[in-house]
Amino acid sequence: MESILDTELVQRAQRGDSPAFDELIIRYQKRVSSLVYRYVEDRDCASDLVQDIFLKIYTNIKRFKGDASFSTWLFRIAVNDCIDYKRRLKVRRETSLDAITEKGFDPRDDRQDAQIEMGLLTRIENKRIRSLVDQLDPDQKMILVMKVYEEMTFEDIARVMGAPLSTIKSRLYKALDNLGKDLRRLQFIERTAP
Amino acid sequence: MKHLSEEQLIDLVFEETKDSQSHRHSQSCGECRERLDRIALGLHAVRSLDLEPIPLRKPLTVRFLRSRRWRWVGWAAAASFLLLSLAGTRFELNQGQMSVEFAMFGTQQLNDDEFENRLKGVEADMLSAFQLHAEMMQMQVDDRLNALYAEHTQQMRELSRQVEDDIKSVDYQNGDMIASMRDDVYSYIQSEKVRGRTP
Repeated sequence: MESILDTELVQRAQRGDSPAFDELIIRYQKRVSSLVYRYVEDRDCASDLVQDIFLKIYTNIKRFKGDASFSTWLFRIAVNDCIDYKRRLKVRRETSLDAITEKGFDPRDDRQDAQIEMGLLTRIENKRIRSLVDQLDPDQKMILVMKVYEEMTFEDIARVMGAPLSTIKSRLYKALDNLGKDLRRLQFIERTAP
Repeated sequence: MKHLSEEQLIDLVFEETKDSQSHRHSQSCGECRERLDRIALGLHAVRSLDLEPIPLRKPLTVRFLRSRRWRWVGWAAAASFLLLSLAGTRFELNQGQMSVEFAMFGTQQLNDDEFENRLKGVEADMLSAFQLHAEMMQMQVDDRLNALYAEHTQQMRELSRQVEDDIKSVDYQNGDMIASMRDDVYSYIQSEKVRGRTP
């Protein structure tokens, strides 16, 4: 079974061959789980989402026409499910960072001191970085997860997201840029804190 | 050379370009260097995050099989109820408890009236079998909804706890900043007083 191509397994699964469908799950379960977990950062939610995604794959596999590869189709479903989930849960939280922005702090004002100090990052709790990542736009966060953690190529990400390469890179730039700005604000707080 | 585009900067930070001109420009142009440093900082932070690996649920495929089997079992149960009802078996469901009453069908020659009565009885049995099946399905749905509700409540509780933690953390940080600002103002007033000025 391991040597069989995805396309053949999909055809068999479409004819109702359960072992073929199981083999497809075995092939992709780890990657999909990893992607979803990295995105939602909650074990239970990730497990439930993965179950839902594969259930969706199972119920829709007959509609898969092979226009894209099976993995692209599968990841597109996974990505859409994750983004939908996040949008439903999205609760905009006011943080001290917003308060600082309102007061008029601009990282550029402090550029001399705000040179990249990677070491300082260790002073910033992981939780805070996670919270910043979580505040990103759902699309931006998904691209970040696919690129940084899943190490997917930009071309694959573009196929999965159904967007041009330039859009993917631009969204990723905005995600990292926003993170960089927020981190500098945090560094500013760390430096000025007693 | 004009400033680097977002795409070029992304290619640089992920080291996916061999364009030496972009490299050189990012070194010599202050603005592009600044933008590159900022996204590099963001990338470094994201890479530094470590999550415990997610445990893969082995029975994933089993769950599918089970769900398929349950669907089949549902239909098989309905068919069995129907057949048994036709054979004269009565089912009753009272407060979640099911009782079964057996009766033999067609052990003696029936006249027209008796046949009609028996037919009505079979119809009634069929209806009660359908009703029973529907009630059992409803119970399954109720169980699932209760489980989902409990899960949702738990998630909301966790979310609420997390929000409270975050608010507390922001409060602490704001308090620290206010204290620091107050100290600065106090020091400034003191230094101005020493110089003989009224702040």
